[in-house]
Amino acid sequence: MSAGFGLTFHHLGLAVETAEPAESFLSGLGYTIAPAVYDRHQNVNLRWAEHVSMPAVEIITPATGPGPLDEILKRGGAMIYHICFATENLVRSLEALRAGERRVVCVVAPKPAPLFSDRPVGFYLVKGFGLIEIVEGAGTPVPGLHS
Amino acid sequence: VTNDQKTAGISERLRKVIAVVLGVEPGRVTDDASPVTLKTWDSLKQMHIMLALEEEFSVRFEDDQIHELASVAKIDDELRKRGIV
Repeated sequence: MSAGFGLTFHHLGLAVETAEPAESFLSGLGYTIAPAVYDRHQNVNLRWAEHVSMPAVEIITPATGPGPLDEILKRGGAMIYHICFATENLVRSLEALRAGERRVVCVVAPKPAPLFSDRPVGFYLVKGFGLIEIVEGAGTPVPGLHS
Repeated sequence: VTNDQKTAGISERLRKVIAVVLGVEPGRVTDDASPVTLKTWDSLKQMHIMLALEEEFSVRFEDDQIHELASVAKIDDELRKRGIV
């Protein structure tokens, strides 16, 4: 396991009620935004926003029915609510993260992520830091953006 | 200090931690308090409550318990099982 828990920055997760205002802002900044992808495991719609020099942003909007954004959006509308990291080995990264006194709680166990070619993605709360997402597999392709 | 006094002390600390995390008056954290009775007690706050309780009582909960102990009564029971009361 390399330094830094084997994690590399992947993207910021932005929760919004509707995508258009966020898309407009990010487009204005020079982001390229891929078409929406429905994630049936999380019951959300995802749009990938990429920029040549700024961090990638995943725009997450609610789908029909109850979903994981309900409580987050209830607190005040749009917000960056997670930071996503990529790892080559999720189990080993979690072992490294949990070494010592650091408290890491599994919020959502790994599930296939349609936006990232069904690679496993899990959510974890790092005490004193916040919510992180970890996707297993480097160079995760994003469908639709460069096709 | 009697066992009743110890119990009251633990209960007070438990309620105070929950109140601080939820941002409500301690008096609103009643014996039957849960996500059903306190609308700010959502699933994310639940995790923050449990992590704050770990620090307060120097205990460690399993990940499953962090999700499942979602009421004052359940948390109180678990603390008793661990001999904290």
